[in-house]
Amino acid sequence: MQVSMSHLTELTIPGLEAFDLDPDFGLASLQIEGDDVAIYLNNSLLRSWTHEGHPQASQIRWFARGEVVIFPKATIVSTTNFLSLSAAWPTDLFLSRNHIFAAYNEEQFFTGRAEHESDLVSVLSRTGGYEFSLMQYFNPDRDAHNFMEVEAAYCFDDHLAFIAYDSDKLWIFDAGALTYRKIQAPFSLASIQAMTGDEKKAYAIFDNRYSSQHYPDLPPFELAVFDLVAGTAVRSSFAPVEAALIAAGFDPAGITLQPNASGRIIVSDGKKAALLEFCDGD
Amino acid sequence: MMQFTREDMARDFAAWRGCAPIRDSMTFTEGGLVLGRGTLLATLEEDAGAGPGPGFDEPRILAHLIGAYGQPVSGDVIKKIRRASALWRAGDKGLAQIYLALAGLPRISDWDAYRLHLVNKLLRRGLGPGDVLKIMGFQQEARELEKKYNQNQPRVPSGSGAESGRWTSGGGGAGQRIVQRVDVNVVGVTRSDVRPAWIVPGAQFAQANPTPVISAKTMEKILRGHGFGTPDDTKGKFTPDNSTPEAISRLVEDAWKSATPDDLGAGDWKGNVVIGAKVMELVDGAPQPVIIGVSGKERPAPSIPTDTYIVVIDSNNNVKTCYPINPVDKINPRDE
Repeated sequence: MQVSMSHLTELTIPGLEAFDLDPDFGLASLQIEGDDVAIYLNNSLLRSWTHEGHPQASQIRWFARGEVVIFPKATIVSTTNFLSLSAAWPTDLFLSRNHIFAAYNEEQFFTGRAEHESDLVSVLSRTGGYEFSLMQYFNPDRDAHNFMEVEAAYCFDDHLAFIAYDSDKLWIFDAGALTYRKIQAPFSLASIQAMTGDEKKAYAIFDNRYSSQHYPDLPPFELAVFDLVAGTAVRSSFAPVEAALIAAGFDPAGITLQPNASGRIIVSDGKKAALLEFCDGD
Repeated sequence: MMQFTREDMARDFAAWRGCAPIRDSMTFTEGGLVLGRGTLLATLEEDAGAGPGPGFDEPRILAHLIGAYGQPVSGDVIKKIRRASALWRAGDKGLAQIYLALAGLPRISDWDAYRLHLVNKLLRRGLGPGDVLKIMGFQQEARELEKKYNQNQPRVPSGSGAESGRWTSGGGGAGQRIVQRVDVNVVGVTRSDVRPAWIVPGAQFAQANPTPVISAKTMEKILRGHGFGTPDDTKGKFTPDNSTPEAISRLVEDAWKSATPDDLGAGDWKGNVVIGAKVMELVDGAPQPVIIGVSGKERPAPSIPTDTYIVVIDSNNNVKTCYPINPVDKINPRDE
């Protein structure tokens, strides 16, 4: 396995609330200063507005070239349009070729104040229309009975690969064929923070930093590698990732990990960001 | 001394918006310095005395402002407010308003004003300004404030007759902890008021049932998602003293002890039981809320300090999660 950083980008916009980094589209930034909200694409202003009467935003993902989707009030924003999605107040969004996957956290799952929040994940068309609840397909599966929130996910083609608490499996849902499969991990998947991959391999990073004060034996980070073809999962050393982080100028202890819209992991230290790239080979 | 129950809070929330017109910036009134819907930041008497007077309590004003604006407020702002208050007290009202404007604070929204109101309520219930800052997540500001205003100096306890939460030279006492069940409405759960004959309303179910089990994995999940200082503020966060495995276990155990068979009647919801509970403390014989954390934000609701939490337990008596909730969120009034 080889690990490297790509698309190293400086985060220079003041009042940066959230951002997304895409290998093709570049940097999308959400700036909030007081009541003023602005979206920048590669440091050029796309749209700006005041909080009052406009979509509530704290996260941003690239949707297409020149278009982003902001949430929790899920809205596609371009120079000409605000398009509200049929998703309540998702805490995360993942985009596949033909679908938008809107994920809700455990509090929403258990209290379900707004419509669809108990879906775990709402599946929407790329035009923003609600299609179905992911739980509709997982409810009959006893292995999915303990689902309460998606811990990490990535998309490839029209698939959503995800890890959901409390299940020690990688789930791969095909939103086109409406089928799924699962890969059992022979270890706990709690603390998975971010994942990336493709149709052959998935790489998931455990972030134990917030557990280590109570469980001092845990290392700060761990890595799991799933072979989607063979249907296997192994724990792997985090050392190659750490080496890549250090080589790119990041302090591994101070980084944040977040998914981007296209199934990559973004690493950031608040001043700069980069995409974490995995590939097979020595 | 007035008790501060969950019902009070629910009523307070509902009534709050209609209670008074909003003042979106600080204003002097006859009662003193006011912001939001009548929230009194400082009591000022117009008596031509020197300085801002004894009612000008800087830590309390700082806690109010940080609560309202959701971000630290510079010392320069407090200086200008102090100067404005002194001018107002001396009778120079015009110049006083100018100094207030010079403080440069932006106007507040309705949600800001509600947070301000809750901060004020907590301070009046006996929490110190530093405590309030800590539960709002402003650790550094709390440390600075306590360092500046002497954290070892005790404060007036609630119910002592004096305004509580103030820095004082008097003593105080720790109260007895009480945990009381609250009814939590969950979408999709239908509860019947008709109980089977063997169920005694209010009876404690735990006496005949083992405390639910918290696995190491679940504890890790709770602490990682809801522990103090963890990322993702869409989730409720426990206060530092409740962000340990021991404290979480105690909260679960206390909630379980307070549960009744009626709570377990909702166990068909996704195979889970949801028990709500609130933590109080007996102070001078009267229950006072104990803030155990803040509720999650990000939906159209702010994060607020709370005494209320829920425990989710599966059909095998395993704890699935436990986290603070907004006390006015999904609470069934029939509980009282």
